[in-house]
Amino acid sequence: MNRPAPQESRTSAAPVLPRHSEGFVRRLRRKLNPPLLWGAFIIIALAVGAYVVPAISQFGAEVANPREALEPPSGRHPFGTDRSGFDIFVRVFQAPRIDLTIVVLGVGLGAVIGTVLGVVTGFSRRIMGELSMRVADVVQAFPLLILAIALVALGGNSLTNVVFVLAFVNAPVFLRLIRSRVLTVREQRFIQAAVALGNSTPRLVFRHVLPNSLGPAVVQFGISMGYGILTLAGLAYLGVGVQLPTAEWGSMILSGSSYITTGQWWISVFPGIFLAIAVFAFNLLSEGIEQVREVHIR
Amino acid sequence: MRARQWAWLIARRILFMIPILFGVATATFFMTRLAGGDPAYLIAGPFATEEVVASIQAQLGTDRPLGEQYLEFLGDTVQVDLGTSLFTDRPVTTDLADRLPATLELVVLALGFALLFGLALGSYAAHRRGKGGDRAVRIGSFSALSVPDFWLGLVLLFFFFFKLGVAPGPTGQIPPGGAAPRDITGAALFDAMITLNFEAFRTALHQIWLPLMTMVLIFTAPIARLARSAAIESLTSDAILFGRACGLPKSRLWIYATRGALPPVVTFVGILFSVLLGSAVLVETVFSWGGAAQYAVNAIRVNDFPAIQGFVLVAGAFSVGIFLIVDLMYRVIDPRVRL
Amino acid sequence: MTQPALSVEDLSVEIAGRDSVATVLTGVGLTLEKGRMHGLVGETGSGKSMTARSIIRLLPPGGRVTSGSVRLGNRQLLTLDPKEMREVRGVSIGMVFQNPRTALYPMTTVETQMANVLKAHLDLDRAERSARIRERLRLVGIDDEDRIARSYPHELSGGLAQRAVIATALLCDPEVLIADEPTTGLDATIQRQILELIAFLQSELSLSVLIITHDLGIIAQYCHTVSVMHDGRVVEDGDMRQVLLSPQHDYTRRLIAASDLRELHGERVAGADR
Repeated sequence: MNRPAPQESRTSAAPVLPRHSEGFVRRLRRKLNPPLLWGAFIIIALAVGAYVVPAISQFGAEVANPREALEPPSGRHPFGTDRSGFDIFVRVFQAPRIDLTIVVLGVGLGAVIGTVLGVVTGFSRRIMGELSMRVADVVQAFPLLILAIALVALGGNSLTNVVFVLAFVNAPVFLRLIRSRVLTVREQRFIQAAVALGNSTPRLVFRHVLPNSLGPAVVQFGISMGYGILTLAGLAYLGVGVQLPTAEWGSMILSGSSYITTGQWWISVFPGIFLAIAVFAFNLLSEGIEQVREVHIR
Repeated sequence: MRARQWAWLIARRILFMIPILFGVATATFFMTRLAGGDPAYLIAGPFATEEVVASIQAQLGTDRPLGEQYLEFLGDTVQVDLGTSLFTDRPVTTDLADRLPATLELVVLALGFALLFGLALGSYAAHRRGKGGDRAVRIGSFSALSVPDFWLGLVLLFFFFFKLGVAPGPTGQIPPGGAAPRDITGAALFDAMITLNFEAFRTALHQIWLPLMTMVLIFTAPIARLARSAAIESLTSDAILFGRACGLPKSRLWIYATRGALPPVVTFVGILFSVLLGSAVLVETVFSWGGAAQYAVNAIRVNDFPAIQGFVLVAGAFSVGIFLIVDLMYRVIDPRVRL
Repeated sequence: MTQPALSVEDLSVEIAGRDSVATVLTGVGLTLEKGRMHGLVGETGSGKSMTARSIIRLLPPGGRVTSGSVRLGNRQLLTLDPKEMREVRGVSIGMVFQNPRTALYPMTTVETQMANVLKAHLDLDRAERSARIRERLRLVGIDDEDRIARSYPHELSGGLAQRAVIATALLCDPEVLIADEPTTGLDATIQRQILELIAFLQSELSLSVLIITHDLGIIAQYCHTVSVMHDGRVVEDGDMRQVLLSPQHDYTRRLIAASDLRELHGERVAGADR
């Protein structure tokens, strides 16, 4: 019968797992959707803009010009200038250089560490596995932002430090996700078949278990990237992490925060809009990936 | 009978919390040490001589072996001693106890309103699934997730304070010269309420509505999204179908569906509380709120190591405590998991 | 012959999917005589449940009746406004679904949810409601009705839960009971008890029962009349014994061949004689 399934069938359907021969990337290519495309497009546009806009602009992103300080938006300065005479337009476009780089590195490192630990703890239930789970539990008990602020502040305001702290606070999320997937996948019949056929453990992990466990982590990566950008900007807003004159959205919002009550809104508003757009793009991306997965699972 | 079972359950849960709190304290000690190294250097500053550092080390006790320091830290923590703030020169516990109520008032109110609006919007969207209202809620909540809270606070300040003049500037809980309630807990709105000080209550309300709105606008979004999907699941459940087949009115079905959507939302509140504590750090800074979160930010600016460490520990302990409450609430709400 | 309790004529239903429309019922007709038990039999996906849900107008999202009529007594159900239809559900037609443990609302006690149904239809005070709930629970064979009334659904066994569901469906004295696979989710011994209960209620209260099942054995044992459905159509209907003993349609023959119908030839021949 080719009747469309009624609504209830979504919840009652057996948890069908992806066929193991098909990798995640191939699935992505098979079913692209608007959120995915828009998310990717915005992110790429931000990354490209970070190099193109400063190159063609007549103002340098980190060149102060006190004679043109606190100017409202105009033809010359589309987004106005701040108290040092920095051109905000160039700076909001240049900011992804630092924002995206640090967050990609930090969250990426956290994802890799979390994934490795997740596979290890999912596969061998030795003492190390238990221990890293308990450590993850305790680390996750702390509010992420507070932990990040404190650790960056204590460790010193270097950018490498920010990267490591982002990795540290994000790793437990991925550890948990991957581990629970690995625990499910390893009980699947095709894995047992692969074991019976005499596959070596590394081959088993890389060919079979990992490709089928990564899905939720990829979705989470988009969300963590978005939240990572917010975290980085939040740190900078508190004066921790990235400092002036580096073009970074959070520190730009900080530089305008005392002017907001006197009416010079543009200093903080434009960086915030770009910050929100970047986070939005990563959320879109992860929504799109989620949809790809749903289409497949259904 | 029931009461005794509950008491026993609560006692068991509290016992369970002890090792977790122990873990939180341990993690606080080692994480702050791992990140910061010997706090003596941090306090002394980059240009201090060796003698100065050595004297600070002796004063803090950081010249002793790490294990010994750790045990001492645990011992002090059990006795509710988080050290003395280097900046205010008062015990960190006193400083935090003075300021925590202001933060909690903001966070708890924000959580309450966000829950109220989030549940209402989520179940509304679920009932209008696929129609205009649903789309509006979905797109609105999805977008709100991307908005930085501290930036939204600034934008709201610009509009409601600078442009319209209907909100106060970033002057904290009690404005200079404003009517202040008798300081009982340190949470102005609450103090004014329990002392029936109407004047102070109005002032406090006037001061809090903008920071509150900032947080509520943002944190309604994740609750609405979760409530929507939970309500859709419960709307398409057999129980609702049977209820409709029995001719229950729409209002009753709505209550059934919303109630059915509560358990996952309550679980989520545990996570959200910890996110809100983090958000409070930023929002308090925007509005000069003067709570514990802003205290911590100031501590960071002046390298006040004991205060930073103390705040991290307290924030972690609070999150654990909230998980306990959420766990108990879950049992009250969902009769399927009980005792 | 008197007017039937429920009659469906030429009912066609389609369901709109994401990008296609599927016809799930085509020209379905059936008649449920007063005080009789009528069976609707067919394989999964043949449109039995969809027929039941069209009668009480609770089609799944995207579902739409394109033609036909459903008459309850002399009322035309398909043209009633939503408020009148709500009164029909529960007051005139009671419905029982296949999985009793999920059909009951999990968050309140049995008593509370039964009281909610009463409040929706009848103007009773608290004591009257409580009395009626207990009376109905006893009616469906529950002895310790006080304890069951105070229980949450998850605390009940499948059989008890289905009894509670039936009691709820009967709260407002409906003339017609529609039971959609009422025993499918239950253990074999419990299945029999529930079917006996429905048969007992049918004769005791002179209910008109439409029972939906894929099990010809149930039809043979309990029903007076039967409709056989296949692929969204009624392929054969009439007196139960006539249909099962001398099937006219090829599909009915195959269905009979595939089931084990000892009941037809053994001692317990058909409810038609009761």
